[in-house]
Amino acid sequence: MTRIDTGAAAAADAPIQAHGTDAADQAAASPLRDAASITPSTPAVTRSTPFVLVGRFLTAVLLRYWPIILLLIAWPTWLLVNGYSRAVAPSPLDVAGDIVLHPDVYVWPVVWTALFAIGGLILGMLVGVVMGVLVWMSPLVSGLLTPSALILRVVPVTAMIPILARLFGYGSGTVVVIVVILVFFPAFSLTISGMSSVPQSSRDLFAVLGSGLRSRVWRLHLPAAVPSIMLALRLSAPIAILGVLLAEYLLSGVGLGDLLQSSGDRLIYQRQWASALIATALSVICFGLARTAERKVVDRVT
Amino acid sequence: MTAVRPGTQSAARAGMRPGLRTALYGLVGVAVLLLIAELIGQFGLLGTTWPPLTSVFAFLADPANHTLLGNALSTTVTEAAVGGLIGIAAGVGFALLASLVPVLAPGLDRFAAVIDAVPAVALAPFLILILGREGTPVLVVALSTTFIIYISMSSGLATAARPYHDLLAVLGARRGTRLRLVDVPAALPKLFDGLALAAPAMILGATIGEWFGARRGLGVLFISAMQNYRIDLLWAAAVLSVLCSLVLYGAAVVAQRAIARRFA
Repeated sequence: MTRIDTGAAAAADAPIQAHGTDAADQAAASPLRDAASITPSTPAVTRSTPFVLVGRFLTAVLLRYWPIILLLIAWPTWLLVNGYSRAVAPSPLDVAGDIVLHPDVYVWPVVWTALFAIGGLILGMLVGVVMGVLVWMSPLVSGLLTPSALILRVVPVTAMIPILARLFGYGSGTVVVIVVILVFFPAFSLTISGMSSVPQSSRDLFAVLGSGLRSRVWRLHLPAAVPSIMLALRLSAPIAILGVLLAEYLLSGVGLGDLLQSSGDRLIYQRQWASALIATALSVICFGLARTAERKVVDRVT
Repeated sequence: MTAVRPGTQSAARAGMRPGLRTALYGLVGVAVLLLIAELIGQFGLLGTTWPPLTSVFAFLADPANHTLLGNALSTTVTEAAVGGLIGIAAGVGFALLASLVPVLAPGLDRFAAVIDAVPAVALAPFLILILGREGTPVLVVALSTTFIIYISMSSGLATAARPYHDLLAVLGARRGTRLRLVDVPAALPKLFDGLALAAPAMILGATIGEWFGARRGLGVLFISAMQNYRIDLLWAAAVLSVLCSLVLYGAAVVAQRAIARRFA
């Protein structure tokens, strides 16, 4: 029963993948097509004029980013309407100004946070995939471990960080441990479900050819699990950044999480908002890189 | 009907055996995990930070602690529930909107991806200003739930079989009618898949939101217990949060099974 649970969870992960790629493909294909359908279709003579090109580009941007543009307009408007002073709620200009005028404040925290997140991500993926392969090879062990992994997966990271901090200290080592644990579970469970997804006919072929367990794992099941493993990478990338930020916020004295916390404590709000925006950008970039890597690798494998 | 029944029953009986065995394996596995955790605590292998589980449960059972833990628990659960309901409504609403007004869809998809990538910690300064320190947890929960529900609902809306669309188009149905008659029922299984994913995220979101100056809640207990070396309290709060997540997850999975049986 519990085994089916993880299957259901993995299946529920899948629509996100499917939808994500759908949306991405759509977005990749859409700018010209959508723009062409929105801007009144013009005769071939005027189509190539710079004016029309700019208009088409603007429409494409508007179509893809209208909620974000709306937010950027709502932000200062809302400050103005409520009459907040700059000391409480910085405007977009204040925030941008602090980033431009004090880049030195932000460089090292960004580097630290990115290094911890990427290092933890790679380490966690390695541990998760290797454990997943080992556990998959034994039905008994996988039967024993899968429900426990499910329980550990729902432990909120907010509960985990204080306990791990007391175990491993308040330093940077704990930050890495936290990210590795967070990344481990999706990698582990998706590796197992990916390896189990091999069709019966391929299994029969390998059985008829008399291949051993090791060659079946290397040549059949592990390659079949690559799309699932890459899905785990994409799902984990924002989680890794969140884990590092939370851990830095509470524990270590370095990184963006710490900058967020210390500037809030010292009431330098424009810096706090700026570091929040930079953290968001970092997370979006990591997600984008992971998605590109996923698409490239999956295209190559399938 | 009666002809079908014996067949399904024998199929169920045949499928019973492996199902029972996996359940047994799983139970043994969980028992072993709990036993290891207990032994680590009993022998102090990881120092005082890792107490025996029996003492954690004794702490949970002690009536003297019930007010403190109960207050924190009810605060967090209320925040998770309110935020979760808002998030579900918003996620479903945005998915329906994207389906009814396709021009908005690319922007909404991209925005959902950005919202997912935004770390909840980074949102805190904005959310605190909008809703204050007490309302922030609700908003954090609502945001993360909205994303998960939007993604699963809109991918579910796309699953309806093509012939039904053609049929309704031939009959001259409007987009809204088609949505109500065909797409929404077809989307329900995926919506409930999304709910199962969102359940643990609700408790997580509530506790993250509580880190930013809320006065009570499990998230507040985690931090204050850590800073005051109250190991038993820290573990008791952690166990409660895990139990909450599991109960929510279990409820979502049961609902998902029922829906899948009915609609798939």
